[in-house]
Order: sequence, then C-alpha cells, then structure tokens
Amino acid sequence: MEKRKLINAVNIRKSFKDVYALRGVDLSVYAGEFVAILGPNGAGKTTLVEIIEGIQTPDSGDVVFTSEEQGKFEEMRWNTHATPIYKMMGLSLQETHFFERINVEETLWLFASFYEGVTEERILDLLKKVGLLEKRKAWTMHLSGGQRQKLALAVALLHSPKIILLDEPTTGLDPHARREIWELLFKMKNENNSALILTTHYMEEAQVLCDRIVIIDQGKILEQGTLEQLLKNHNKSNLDELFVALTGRRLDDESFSKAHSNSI
Amino acid sequence: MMKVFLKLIQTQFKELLRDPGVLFWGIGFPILMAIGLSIAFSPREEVNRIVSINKMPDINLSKEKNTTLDGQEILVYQSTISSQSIGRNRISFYVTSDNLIADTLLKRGIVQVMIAYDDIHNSYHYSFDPKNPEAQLTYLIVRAQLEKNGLPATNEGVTAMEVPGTRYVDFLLPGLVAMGVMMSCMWGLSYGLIERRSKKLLRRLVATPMRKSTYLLSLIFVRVLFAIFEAAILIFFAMLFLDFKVHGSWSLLLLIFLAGHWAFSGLAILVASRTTVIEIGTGIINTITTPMIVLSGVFFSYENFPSWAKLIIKYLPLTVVTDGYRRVMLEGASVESLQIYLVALFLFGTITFLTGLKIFKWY
Ligand SMILES: Nc1ncnc2c1ncn2[C@@H]1O[C@H](COP(=O)(O)OP(=O)(O)O)[C@@H](O)[C@H]1O
Ligand SMILES: [Mg+2]
Repeated sequence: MEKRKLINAVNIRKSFKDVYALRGVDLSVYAGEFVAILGPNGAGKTTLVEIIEGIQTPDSGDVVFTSEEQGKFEEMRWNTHATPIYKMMGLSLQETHFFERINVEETLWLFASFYEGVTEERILDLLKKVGLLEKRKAWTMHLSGGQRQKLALAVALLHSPKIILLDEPTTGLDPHARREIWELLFKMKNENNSALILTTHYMEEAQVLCDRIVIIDQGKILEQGTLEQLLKNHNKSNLDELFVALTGRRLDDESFSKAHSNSI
Repeated sequence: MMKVFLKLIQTQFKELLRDPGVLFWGIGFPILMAIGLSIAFSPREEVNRIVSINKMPDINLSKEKNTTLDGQEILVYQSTISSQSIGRNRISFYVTSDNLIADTLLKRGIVQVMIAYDDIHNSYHYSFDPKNPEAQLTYLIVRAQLEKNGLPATNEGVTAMEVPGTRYVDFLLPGLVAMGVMMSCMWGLSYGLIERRSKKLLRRLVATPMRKSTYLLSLIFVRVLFAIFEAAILIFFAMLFLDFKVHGSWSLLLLIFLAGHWAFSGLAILVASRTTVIEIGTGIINTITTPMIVLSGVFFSYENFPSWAKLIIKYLPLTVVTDGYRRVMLEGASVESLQIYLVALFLFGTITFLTGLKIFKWY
C-alpha cells in the first residue's frame, strides 16, 4: 500500500495586493516525515505554513488532512474540521508574544487546558527538554527572544501532536541554543511518529534534521527530495551550490554564514 | 542634529498619514467631540430651566403643551427672562400637586428646584440642593422672574434639600456606576483584545482546539467580576459616608447591572472585532464613549437638550443603562417597570456580541 499522505496541499495560490506570495504550490507530508521548507526571506514560507495551519486562507487550492482511526481514514478540511485538525496539530508562529504577566509554567498550563491528557510530568519534562526549567517562574515578558522561542516550541509540542509546524524555530538563536533545539527535535523523531514541517533559511538545519528538503523561492517550489537525491540530480556537492544553481543567488544571510562557519 | 530631528518628524508624519484608519479616527473623533460639545454647551438662545410647583399662582404666564411622566399628564406654564449677564432663560413650571411625581421629576434630574406655593398666605417655599450650582442659579432666576411678575419675595422660605435620595449626589452616583461599567468594558475588553491581536497573541490562542466564543466569554466573565467589585465599592462608600440609599431590591439591582454590563460587553467585542492598529482602537473607543458621557445624562439630565437630540440620546446604550440604574437605585422600580430596560439591554448585548463574534478577526 502507498504511504499515507497526512497533509496534502494542492495548487495553493495566495497574493497580497500586487505581491504573489504563493504561485501554485503543492506539498504533501507523510506520517512521521520531517520536511524542511528552505528559502530566503520573502519566499513565501510563512504564508505556506500559515495556510496549512488554517490561519490564512488561500486564494485558491485545497488543503486536506487525513486522519486514521482504527484503520478507517477520514479526510478533513479547515472549513469543516477545524477542531479535530487543531487537536492533532502543534505549531509555533514566526513570532509570538504570550500573556506578559503569566509565567512560563502557567503559560504551558493554560495551553494544556485546551488539550486532553497533558500531565504535570509532561510539562516538567518539556521544560527540561527545551531548557526552561530554571525559568519556569519567570514572566514571559522577561524572557529573551531565544527563551520565548523555546517556550513557543514547548507549547507546540505540549500534547504530542501528530503534526508539528514550526516557522523558523531557530532564527535569532545563538548556535549553541540552535543545536540544542535540533537535538530535541531529533530525539523526538525517534520517539514519536510525528510529522514535522519546519521553515528555515539555514541550510544546515534542513540538512541535519529533515528527511526531505523543499526549496522555495518567490512563491514557487523549485525542487524537493532527500539531500542525496537533490545533489545527485543536479550533480552538486552541497546544498549551497545547489541553491545557487537553482536560484542564481546564494541564500545570503549573515547569521547563516556565521552558523555555517562554526558548524560541526 | 536638527536634520535628524526633522527627519524623525517627517517619518512619523508619513507613517501616520499613510494609515487611513488613524487619519479617519484621528480627525473624525475630534470632530464628533466638537459636535457633541457644541450640542451640550453651545451658547443657546435660551436655557430651559424646569421647576416643579404644586399650584400655579395667578400670574400671566403662557400655557404650553402638557407633558407626561410615566403616562401621567403634567400641566406646563412658561415664561422667559432675559438679562445681559444670564442670557435668555425660559422657565418651565411643571404643575403637579402630587409630591410623588415631583419627587420622581427631581430624581430623574428633570427638575432641580421644587416650589411649594401657598395661595392663602401668598408665600413660596423653594427646595433644592445647594451643592448643585445649576439648581442654585435656577432658584435665583425663578425668584427674580416671580418678583418681576408682581409677586415680591417677602414671604419666601428656602429648604436646603439634603434629604438622601433627592440630592445631586444621589442623581450622580448611578450615572457614575453606569459610566464605570462602560469604561471597564470598552477599555478592558476592547482595548485588551486589539492589543493582543496586534501582538499576534490572539492567533496563537485560537490555533488550538479552544472554542473562540469560550475565550471571549471568559474575558467578559472576568470583567463582570471586576465591575461588580468596583461598583460595590462605590455604592458602599456612598452609603457609608454620603447617606446614599438604594431604594430598589439588591437582586433587581444586580440584574439590571448585569444587563447593562452585557450590553457594553457585546458592544466592546463588536468594536474590537476588526482593527489591528492600537491607535485606531483608541480612536473608536473614544469616539463611542466620550459623546455618551456628555450626552447620556451621567452628570446632568438630558432633558434640556433639543427634542430632536433627545430622540437619539434616549436610545444610546449609556442612557438606557444610566436610566435603568437610577430607576432601581433612586426610585425603587419594580421588575415590571424595568422589563423594557432589561430586554433592550440583553438584546443589544446579544446582537452586538454575535455580530462581533461573526466578523471577528483572530489573525
Ligand atoms: N499580510 C501581508 N500583506 C502583504 N504582503 C504580505 C503579507 N504577508 C506576506 N506578504 C508578502 O508575501 C511574500 C511572502 O511572505 P512570507 O510568506 O512571510 O515569506 P517568508 O516567510 O518566506 O519570509 C513577501 O513578499 C511578503 O512581503
Ligand atoms: Mg517567514
């Protein structure tokens, strides 16, 4: 049997006034698969994931989720199944402010109340994993940008969702914190059978974490596949070269080159 | 240095002018304010001063169209007095021998001075709250007017009306409670929601299985608790130190309080339903609340407004809430007589809430 498509987005288009953010994008994700959406700023990454997250509505196209219950498959769409879809989805937005005068632990408890079966153990475990255990009594307004991102990640993972969407989860973090988050996600990959979509403009992140890399630029998917497939198809030795070949530009981000130069 | 300063100013101007919403509310609000204030305070050709009198003395005043209070006819006589210092004042005498009606007129702020005329001794007795400057002025003008009509004020008596229930502070307090409810809803709910939307907190909250209406209702619930607490402090303080007395039943007061709160909660959700820009939100809230504070009879009765304005003012939410609170607190109104207020406020709140929820922008 063919592997089950957990998410199937077909021919998604979205424009803002005269800006075409997405010009016909197809993306499917299988259960348990880690997918990186790699592209420069303004490529349309946030627009794409927010459409999958039901936060934005596409001008045209279809997003279908397939859930499995006792061997029975059910197709779900945002306009009819918002609640069940959100139950199996965890997400972090590109930027989120939480309630300012609510502390880290209380924030997690608040979100825990939206789902079933999130235990105190789970919350403590997550706090440990994302490295916020010491900060658990701190008001969110007193967190640094990186700590806030870790909190957003913890909220996303809270109910062990089947689908995880993270919009630039490590942007703005220092290389050390970034690597911690990679480790966390990597471990999770071996434990749960969750699917992950993450957007990034760090090649290394895509390369280290994900089964499949989707290269997006100017609202279009240019290529996708495993790292080996991509390099082999285009006869390139690394992602950097491939990106230049596909787009005619480097993925020119300062922080990227810094992260890259002191990488593993 | 100067260059930087000018550049900064220019940039800010551009930013403001490029947002049509900020512009609209920024200019629209002061204009509306100006209109409201000019209705309220414009040097009117005439100031209308209404007094109640138990019996009309035999002087030559023009008979006007009768008026009604809760269905009861009241005879009206008028006379006008002009002087350079006080301008033109029209005095309306509401003739009622029924003390209860005179009392109600006073409690609703329609009249500020009560006159008892004794035709046997040809003497007058005035009652008003000396702490209310408007009432004092009315007293002086009426007195001058009667004197001019050949009734010398030799036989007059004055009672300072300090009986709880009929003072200006009694009139004011329910209005202040109503205004507090409005402000708590409009700033607490509306502003809070707009701010959370602009910080992208709302979209994070609703990207979960949580029901959107649950979230809004929880906000309203918290507001209600705070508002009850705030109103209770005000009322108990007034009872303790100002001899304020609540004439109606406490349960009915709670009921009308909640109905008023629900009305403003709905309005607050509707107001907060679309905009992401805090400046626009502030503008809308000010535009809605300020005219009502001036017009709805919180500080002074709207009876003296022109009748076309009264027609609108009567249906403003703050007017209905203020009147409702006054009926219970000052007049001890019954459930039956309050029904219309309760139903109107409940419907208003429900319709605005549902409309707001329907068009609410979460993202
Ligand atoms: N709400 C919006 N209004 C106008 N333009 C937008 C909006 N959201 C995104 N865009 C535009 O759409 C394009 C894609 O944006 P986005 O999806 O945020 O890119 P990315 O996440 O890859 O950086 C950009 O050109 C951006 O300016
Ligand atoms: Mg983005």
